[in-house]
Amino acid sequence: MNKTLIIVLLILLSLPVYAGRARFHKTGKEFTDNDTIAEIRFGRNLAARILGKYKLWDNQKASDYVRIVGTGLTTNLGRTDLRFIFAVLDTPDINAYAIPGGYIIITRGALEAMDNEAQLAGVLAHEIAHINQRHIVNKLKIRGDSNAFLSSISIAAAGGAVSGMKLVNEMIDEAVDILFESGIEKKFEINADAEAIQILVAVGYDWKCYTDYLKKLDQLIYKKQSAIVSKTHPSVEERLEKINSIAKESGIMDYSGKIHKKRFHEYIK
Amino acid sequence: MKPNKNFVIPFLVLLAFLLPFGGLSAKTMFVKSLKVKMTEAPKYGTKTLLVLKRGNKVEKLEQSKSWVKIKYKNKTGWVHKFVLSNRPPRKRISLLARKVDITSKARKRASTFTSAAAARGLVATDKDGLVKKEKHDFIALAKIENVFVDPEEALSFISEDE
Repeated sequence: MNKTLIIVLLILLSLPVYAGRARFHKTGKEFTDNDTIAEIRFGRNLAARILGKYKLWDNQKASDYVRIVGTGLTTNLGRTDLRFIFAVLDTPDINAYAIPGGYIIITRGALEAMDNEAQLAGVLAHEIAHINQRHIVNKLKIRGDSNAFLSSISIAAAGGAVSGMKLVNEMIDEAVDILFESGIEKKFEINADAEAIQILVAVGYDWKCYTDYLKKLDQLIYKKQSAIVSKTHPSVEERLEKINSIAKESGIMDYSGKIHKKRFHEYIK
Repeated sequence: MKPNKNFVIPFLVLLAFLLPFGGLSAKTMFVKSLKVKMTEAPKYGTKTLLVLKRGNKVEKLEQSKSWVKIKYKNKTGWVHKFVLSNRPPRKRISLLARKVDITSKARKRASTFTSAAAARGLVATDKDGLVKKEKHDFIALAKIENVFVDPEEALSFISEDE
């Protein structure tokens, strides 16, 4: 057989291998619909658990305002496979939580410490970024493709297998610990800040309002110890330093934008 | 020097197969945002050339830090890199039915609807795979899940100028 023909045949035979590797690579990195279903089911459990710990704020106007601003942000820059759901907890503690499956919960204390809509958008954008980047999902390995978690949560729901229920509850315990006590890795908080300021720039809010809010939190932590700011984040000083560095790299240092102070105070009183 | 045809032909065959893959992933991108303005300069607030919609296929021409110059239907302009994706946007997955709309006129009546929907939602959530445990508050969960915000109206709201 002609040498050229042999080489051509070898190349053509190798193409399916090339294509197969590409699919394998995609399967390894991409998230499937089953992954999203598992994430939502887990998130609903976790959200219900947090709502069992704190009551919802009985202020419909303020809660709806948070929902509308949050939905506006996620409509443009949130994961398209999720419906994001926002809620406000009735506690003076200052915090916000990003729960897998698109649940974002902020406290009344956090809202009361804000001065404008750009700050609210900044905090929500930070939480949206955690969900976009699947920080808890990846840390706890919540996946639907192996069927292990998906079947466990389904079995647990059907009132069967104690082991399935145990697994789900252990994972939820771990997520609660991440949200309320140990926190997630500092690098993930920094990454969420980085995405948050980009989200703010993309929709036209003044990103510096977010850093103003972080500075205010810093004062509240040290000057008013009764206001519990999370134990879950790196120091504000460290975050501000990173944010400024990212802003310089992205060329947005001199960007300004909407603040919506008046509108914020119409809704949050 | 005369090129060896034993290598040139296989090389051309390989190139013909690989170029479409490489070219497609490098240049074609998709809009993931519901609606986004393509502007004439890489900065928010500059003149809007056209409005792109979720799923629109665009051609990436160049990138300037956070902004991407794109071509869509023979028009070129800029969008923020975060509104684009390398792959078509995934479809939304929801385990919930649409319930209460708090936007527009419905907003005034939201609290009334929410209470009733919460009771209905409780049954559905049990079926959807919630683990029953004393510390969980399923009624509060249903209350927040059953409030629907119209994405387009929310987008208009945050896009309003001061």
